[in-house]
Amino acid sequence: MALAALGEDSSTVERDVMQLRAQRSVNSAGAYSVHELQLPGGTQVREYLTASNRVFAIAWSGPSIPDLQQLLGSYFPRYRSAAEAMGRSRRPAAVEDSDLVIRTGGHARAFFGVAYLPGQMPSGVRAEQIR
Amino acid sequence: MSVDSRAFRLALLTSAAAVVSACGGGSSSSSSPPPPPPTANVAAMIVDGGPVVNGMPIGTINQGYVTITVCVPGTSTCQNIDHVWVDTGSAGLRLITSAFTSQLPATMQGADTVANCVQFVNAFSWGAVRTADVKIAGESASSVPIQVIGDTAVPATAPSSCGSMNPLNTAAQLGANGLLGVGVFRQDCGLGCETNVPAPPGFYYTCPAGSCAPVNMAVSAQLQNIVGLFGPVNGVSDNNGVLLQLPSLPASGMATASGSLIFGIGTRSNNALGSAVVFAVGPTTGFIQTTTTFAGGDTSEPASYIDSGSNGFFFNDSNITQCTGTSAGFFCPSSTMSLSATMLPYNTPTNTTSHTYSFSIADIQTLTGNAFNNVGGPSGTCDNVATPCTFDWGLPFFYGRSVFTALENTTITGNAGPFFAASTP
Repeated sequence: MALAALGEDSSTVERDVMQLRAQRSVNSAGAYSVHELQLPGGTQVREYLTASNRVFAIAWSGPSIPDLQQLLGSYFPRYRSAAEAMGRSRRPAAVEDSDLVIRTGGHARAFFGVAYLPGQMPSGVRAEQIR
Repeated sequence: MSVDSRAFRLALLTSAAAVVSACGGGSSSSSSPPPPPPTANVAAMIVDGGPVVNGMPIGTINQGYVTITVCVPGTSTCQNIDHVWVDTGSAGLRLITSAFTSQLPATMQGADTVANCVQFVNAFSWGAVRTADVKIAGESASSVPIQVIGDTAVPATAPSSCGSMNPLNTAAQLGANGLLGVGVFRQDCGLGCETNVPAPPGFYYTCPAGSCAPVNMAVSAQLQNIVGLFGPVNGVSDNNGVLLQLPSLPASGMATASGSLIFGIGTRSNNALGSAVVFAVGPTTGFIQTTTTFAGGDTSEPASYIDSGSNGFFFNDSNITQCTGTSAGFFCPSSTMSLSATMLPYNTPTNTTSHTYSFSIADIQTLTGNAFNNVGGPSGTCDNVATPCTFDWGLPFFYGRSVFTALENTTITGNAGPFFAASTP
């Protein structure tokens, strides 16, 4: 069973809300909607959905790193591979591919990151709008 | 904490170079008087190849270590643990499990041992919470909650909400026998872990029947920055922060660098702020700021920090060649580059403090040893929108300087903590 949201439909957001024990608010911005998940402890996860309810981007920030295996789902192995390719590096791993972008950073008590699917962005939506 | 290591190549180099002594001053001539005994608040800090694993040093680079004494609380049953990595980027003492640490009393909730998680941007460590009396350099803290990494009292596998990336659960993985977090925060988590309902993920767990879920922990029961707990020594409490002093290095690096981890700031004659520049640190984030003018790089890094637990200068400049192979993650410029960057407090420009520090970036593949003042690599891709840019002033920044890390909720000669301070130039 796919538990995660990136690239999947809105029902996976429901699973994220349950799995992450989050509170959710939804804002619609025309070509897309933003499901904001407030995790216990203050970390925020924002899931961006197309008008046809497909998750095309996720951003997070806060004192802990959310469960990325959950949120990235089928894309998580590519992120883990990027980290493993850096050997024993503990600096941020990044994926910068034509179909997948993942950027992370931060340190103890302040982490952040973004993951999006360039090919599934609604037309007119720019990467800078994902935050 | 943020680290790259070229473990195998350096391990070989290190074993061959192990007899090389520290830079200058490391040996005493027969006509010199013996050195004075160490001051009460000074712990010897060494940058070398790390603890011995499988018969040889791991071959770490720019990881600075101290030896710490842990005791079963209220007893004289103690053990010295060497090669504990000094980290101004985290809070709390974390030790790789051993026969000794298993004797320390575990923190329980009901019938369950409490587990602790620490997240790094790309990695995590997982273990049990136990209590120890902790001693170093004449300072002591009693009944301190610590993390025992790899402790068999909790399940071996961390829950995915703790981490599913690189585990740092052994000495070989961590490059150390433990981590001494002496950063700006007093606990690893703080009030959120005590009061949030449900309990936040990523910090404390219990695992009834092997199934781990977050639990709340009172602030006083969380992992503690031991510095904040130090009692008075001869009437003086060195409990408001730390000063790191490491020697200047030649551009070619050294096998070993010997310096000091000094406890307290402005509490004794050996830890005065003096003319060091004070950079206020964001009280929630732990960040300062940096601005740069690199040809191919970011110009503003609002998520910056000074971190003895990072083993290079990490920043983005696409004009600097990046290494491949065993040195991936570092810069490999064809000739050494002289650069500078401007450090700013978190609350710039309201706070007008700034100072520009110069540094060099060499091709790490041309260097041999374990201590280098001129290595670095790219930080993560950033956009200053969803992912703020970072300048990570790691251990290379500390060589030849006095670098202070002041705790939150302190005031030192009129400067409110948390702050970093660094001598000039």
